Amino acid sequence: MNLRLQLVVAAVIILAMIYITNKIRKRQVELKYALIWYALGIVYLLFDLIPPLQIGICRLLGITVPINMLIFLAIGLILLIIFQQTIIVSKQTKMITRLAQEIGILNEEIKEQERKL
Amino acid sequence: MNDDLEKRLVIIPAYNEEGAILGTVDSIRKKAPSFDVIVINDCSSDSTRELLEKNGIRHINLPMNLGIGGAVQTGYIYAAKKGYDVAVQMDGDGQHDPAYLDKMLDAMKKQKADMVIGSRFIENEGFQSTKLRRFGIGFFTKWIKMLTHKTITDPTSGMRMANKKVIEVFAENYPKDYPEPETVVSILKQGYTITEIPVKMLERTAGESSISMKKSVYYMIKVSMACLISSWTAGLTGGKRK
Repeated sequence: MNLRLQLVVAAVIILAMIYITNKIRKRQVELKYALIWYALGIVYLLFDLIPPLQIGICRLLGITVPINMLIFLAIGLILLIIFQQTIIVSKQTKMITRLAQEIGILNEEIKEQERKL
Repeated sequence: MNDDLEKRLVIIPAYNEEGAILGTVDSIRKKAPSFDVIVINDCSSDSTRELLEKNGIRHINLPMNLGIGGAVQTGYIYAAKKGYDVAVQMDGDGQHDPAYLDKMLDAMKKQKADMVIGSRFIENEGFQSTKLRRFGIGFFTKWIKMLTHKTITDPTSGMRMANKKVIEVFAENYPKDYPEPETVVSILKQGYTITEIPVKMLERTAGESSISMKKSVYYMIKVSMACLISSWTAGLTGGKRK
């Protein structure tokens, strides 16, 4: 990877991390869920800025062009993050359902009490 | 009628059932007076809610549309909370005849079953659904037989009665959509027993089936998978809890 590409990749990552940090600061993103994005950024930055690491891993995986390795890595990590979000969505669906059910039952119980009075 | 002070509840999930809900509740009060009735109004956009309020029918209004699974489960949570001994779910569209409720109760007692299903396909009388649907139901019967070694002739029937133990299982866990076949597998795998009695179903008086042609392929795949996974899950948790 030439220096120019390296710098472009580093700049994009750093901008993205500043953006994420800002979102957390404004309480629009939960730090808990942002951690994995930070992890992704740092891993990426390390690969980008340490050429021997790039070359070593590329050789290990049989990849000839280092940028391909970055793309491969990115897709893998993104799939992981998306699946994590599927888990979160499933959990929240269950929680929302339960909340709606409890609210419905409570409302009926309140009405029942009023009828008795 | 109710000689042993047992508390019995009919759960009616209702989504836009203004055309049939009053008739359904009325015929339960006439034909099965020992049962309390609770209608779960699943955030209907028609006048279902107003009708229920005006006629003093006990009902729960869900604040958002949860779908059939979430609505029926609300009924089971309510039944568990209020200490009901028997809960039976029935469709609000007039397909199920409440005259069978006492027979279901009888079958539950005599055969010591934890759950009783009203089946269209024991005597093959009454409204039999379309040919394609019958084929789908037949497939699930075979699929459930493979998974649980038990024959349930009408696993998609929405007319089912649960005892206290099964009420608690359902209150804790119930599938979101197309719940019927999946719950059959899960209940059997947890070591509970299911029995069926023959019923005649009527053609719905109002409303339409929740499963359209377009959705039927999705339905078959989703429900088959759900049955399979649920048959493994119950095995993992070790089964029957007392």
